[in-house]
Amino acid sequence: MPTVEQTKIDKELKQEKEDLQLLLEKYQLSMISALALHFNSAGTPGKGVDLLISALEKWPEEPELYEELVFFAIKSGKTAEAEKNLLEAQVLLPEAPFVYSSLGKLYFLKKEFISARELLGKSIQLNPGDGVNLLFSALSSLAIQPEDKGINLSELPEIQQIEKDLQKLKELNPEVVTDDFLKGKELLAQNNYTEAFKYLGKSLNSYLNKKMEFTRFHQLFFSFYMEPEKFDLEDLKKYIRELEKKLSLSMPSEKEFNRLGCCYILFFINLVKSSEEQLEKALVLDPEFEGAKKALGFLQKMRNDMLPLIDSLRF
Amino acid sequence: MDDLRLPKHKEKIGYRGNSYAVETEYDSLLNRVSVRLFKNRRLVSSRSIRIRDGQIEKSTEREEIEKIKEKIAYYHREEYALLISFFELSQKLKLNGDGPAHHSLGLVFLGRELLEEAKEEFLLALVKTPTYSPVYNHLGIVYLKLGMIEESIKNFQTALKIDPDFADYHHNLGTAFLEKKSYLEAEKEFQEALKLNPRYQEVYLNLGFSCLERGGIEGDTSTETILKEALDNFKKAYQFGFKKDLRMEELLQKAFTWEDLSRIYMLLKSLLTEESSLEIKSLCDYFRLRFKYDPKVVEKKEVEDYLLQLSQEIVEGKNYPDLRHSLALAYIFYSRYILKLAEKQFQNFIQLSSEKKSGETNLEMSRELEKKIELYLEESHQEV
Repeated sequence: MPTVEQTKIDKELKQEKEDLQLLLEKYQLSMISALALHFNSAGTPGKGVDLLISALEKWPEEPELYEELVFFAIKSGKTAEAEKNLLEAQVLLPEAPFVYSSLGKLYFLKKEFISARELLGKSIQLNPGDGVNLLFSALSSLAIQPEDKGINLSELPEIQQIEKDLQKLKELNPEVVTDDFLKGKELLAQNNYTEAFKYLGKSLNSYLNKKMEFTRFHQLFFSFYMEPEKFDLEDLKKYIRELEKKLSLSMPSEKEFNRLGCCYILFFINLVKSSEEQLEKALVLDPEFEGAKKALGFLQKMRNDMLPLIDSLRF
Repeated sequence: MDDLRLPKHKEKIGYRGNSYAVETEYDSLLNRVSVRLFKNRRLVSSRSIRIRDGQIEKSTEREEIEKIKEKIAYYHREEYALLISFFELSQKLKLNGDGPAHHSLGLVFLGRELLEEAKEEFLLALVKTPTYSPVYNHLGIVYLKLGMIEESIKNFQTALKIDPDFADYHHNLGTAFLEKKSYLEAEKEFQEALKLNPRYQEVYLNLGFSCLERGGIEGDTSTETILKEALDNFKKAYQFGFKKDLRMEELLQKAFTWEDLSRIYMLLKSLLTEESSLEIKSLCDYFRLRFKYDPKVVEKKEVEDYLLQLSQEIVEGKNYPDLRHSLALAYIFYSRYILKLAEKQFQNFIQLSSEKKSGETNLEMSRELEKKIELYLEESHQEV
């Protein structure tokens, strides 16, 4: 016989699960991802883990979801659930590099460096174009080097491989290259492995924090979909102007191109909405206005055809 | 203002044996920019634009003055480009324009008081759509403005034969009779218009004016009754107007003589002219035509300016269904540029990113959206 307390907890859990299902039904993939980021920034990364695990049932082949799951699982301590899901995915998708990469990252963050290196190696083999895996792998290798001061590590092939990988990473993912990264690389060349690990680890952390940040960009989409009463069109326009300026002045990260594109789409949706509002106002002023009636009919039909398209937006 | 010289712009264009000129300058008395359109050296229309709150004085900062100069030059260029574009559209429509398109271009010319050009477009419209009543109505207006009253009456009557329930047509026919000094026939038409639209401000004003004119002629014992009738109509014209004016209310209370009523008529008429929507409506027609016939040539900035102007008109109180309808279409037309910008960014992303799939999904989506917008615009153009 469950206790009153247990019944209450069960009820709450059931409610939470239903809420998550509702979110999954209502929003597209990118919005689910943004929601997870929002939960994390609101100090409830565990909720993000639950959401992402449910989302993986719907979208089992989305690399971003796996990656976010790993980071929020570490933050919330729900690593066992994440590991279980990733191992299941490994069986279902044996050729998917992102599953190995996510598992490897999870093990690395859990400080299980040997498993991490093995899985990351497999991922790199399947997808050599992901530089961030090289950094995780390099750090895993560094972490498991013997501490015997009598051995000259620089002659070991593992260390030589680390140096090569870091060089390759610089080319593949320049956004990871920070002062800490360069310092770490320098220390590695001086055979100061402990300090190198520290600095390279710092550069990895700042990259991950940036990646998992709930940014102003996410906020715009979040309020547009979740809190439309708080959505501010002027704020969107301002953000677009700022991004345009930034992109015209410097070579930005690839992500920013996509973000600007997505913001334009958001602006586009608003223009269609404004058009619809104007036609509705015209019909309030003159309910017999045939032209406005027809135009509103076309527009509403077009909007219905557009919604599933817009749901495929990836931000 | 004595020492402050702001440039006056003037540009000419010749078209089919006529010479047109646009002149733009700052009018210090009105504190507005005046843009005037001349045809064969005769002023045909003008519009004035408010560009700042306060007067421009000698003490106004140099930077501010430079901005004002830029604005004046901008309005001038805009008007001149519009004029050229009207003629280009006219040429284009001669090749492939349908009846409603010629009608719309006629309205554009009418909005600029280019009456011969408007007449030509309306006549072309009638060749292609001989039973479309608005064309007869607008042709009637053109003839009335040209002083060809009998032609004008005939056209309004044809419009009414096709669509007898249009208050505007009765009102315009009444106005033509008024011009002909056939007051009783005019008043009969005004009454018909009021049956169809009992809040038609301009009809009350013209009905009052007709009474006033009759009162002036008869000048006998019936004058008092006629003047009272005129006053009642002016009161209704004021009541159904948009703006309230304390001075006018006082005048309406105290009005007694023919002179008082004439003054009231003039004031109400000027209030009504201020509220006239002909110019903005003609701009809307112009853009609807360009969206249909010139979609690839219309620039993003032009549409932005147009959107701004429409929004301003609405903020200033011109809350007409037509205006809202035009604004709705302009938003959709403008959204094409935004989709193009989005596509460009997604292409950049695909070029640089290892995550090509997301970029490709987004690019494909924006292209699909664009197709839907084009379809929508095509459907809307059927209405032009």
